[in-house]
Amino acid sequence: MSAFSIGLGAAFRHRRLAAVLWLSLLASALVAWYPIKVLFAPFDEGAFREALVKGWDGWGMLTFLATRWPEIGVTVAAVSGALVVFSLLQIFLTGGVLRVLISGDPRPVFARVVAESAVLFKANLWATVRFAASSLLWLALLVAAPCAALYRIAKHAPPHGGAATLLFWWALLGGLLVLFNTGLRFDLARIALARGDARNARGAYRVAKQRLSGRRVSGIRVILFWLVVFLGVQALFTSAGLRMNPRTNGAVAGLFLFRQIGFFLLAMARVGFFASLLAWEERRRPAYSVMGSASGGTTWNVSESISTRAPASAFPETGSSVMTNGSALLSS
Amino acid sequence: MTSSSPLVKAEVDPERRIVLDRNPWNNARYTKKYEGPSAAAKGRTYALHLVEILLSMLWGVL
Repeated sequence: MSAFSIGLGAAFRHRRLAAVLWLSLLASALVAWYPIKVLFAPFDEGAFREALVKGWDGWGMLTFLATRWPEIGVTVAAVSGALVVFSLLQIFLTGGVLRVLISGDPRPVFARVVAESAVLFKANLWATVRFAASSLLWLALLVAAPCAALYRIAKHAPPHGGAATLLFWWALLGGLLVLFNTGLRFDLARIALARGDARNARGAYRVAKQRLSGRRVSGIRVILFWLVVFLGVQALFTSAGLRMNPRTNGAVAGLFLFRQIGFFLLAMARVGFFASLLAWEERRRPAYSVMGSASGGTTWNVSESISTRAPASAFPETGSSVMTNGSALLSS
Repeated sequence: MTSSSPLVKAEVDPERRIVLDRNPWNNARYTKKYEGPSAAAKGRTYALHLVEILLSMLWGVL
């Protein structure tokens, strides 16, 4: 079975796990609910009510933006708060999600995700800091610096010529390539933490480097596949939601439910991505029998037991996932 | 103007001829008897979805 089909199967099997991620998304968005409620209250009191119920009124929206700056500022601040809350929640939840996927048990999920996430949170937080720092460093070295040089030699009036075109494409594709690389290593480091291959972020990044050695392209292929799925679902539901243009209160409630189905599918895609990456990583792990052997290909320290190196599972009776070498995911 | 129907809405410049109006949003008032569909609920729903779209894009990074 390919890593992609394993991921797709896991996305449908671990619906409760997707529900946890979807709830984290909805709960974070609701942080901004009260300012949004206050901001849009004038829609029911002003001269544009009927026009906005029917569809769009450009003049109404332009004057709304021009006259409601204080409320808009508060809403933007609340949305920024929601972004921070959501980011921390995802850093927190990813460890638990990975451990549940490794165990292969579709339930119970919620309590286990929270407990396992709490165990791994500190290490995952440091891994995130390392990811942010390495992304910034490589973006500066490989994207910003060449783009700055190209900017100096590019013509900034039509016809722009090759340097300006290269500047644009390098900024876009080079930036994406760097982020795919740093993101892949970050995800593999979190997998190393969840499997118990490393005790801290530094060790996890070292394990991730070993897994990635010479196999970056196939790893990035996993990311690209799920990115296409993710963007496809997002585009489909956003476009359909805009076309629905509800004109009754019941239809607005229907739109809300329809859109939540879309976000739930996105959460399923995230679960599928992690399951695919776990399967990909599983096939690149040194087998226990060759750990520390004369093969010379591994630097695994077998004199130290895995249980002492790994952050302890919050569910020791099922925490054997660390010892199963992830086979639960492949066999299920 | 007189009518046997209860008043639900009053609006000035309904055809929006006064282009220099600084704030056209205060040109109409509805009474509580108005039971039409809510534009605010629609706006809030779309805004909440926009926030969820923004947040879910972070799944591609974190």
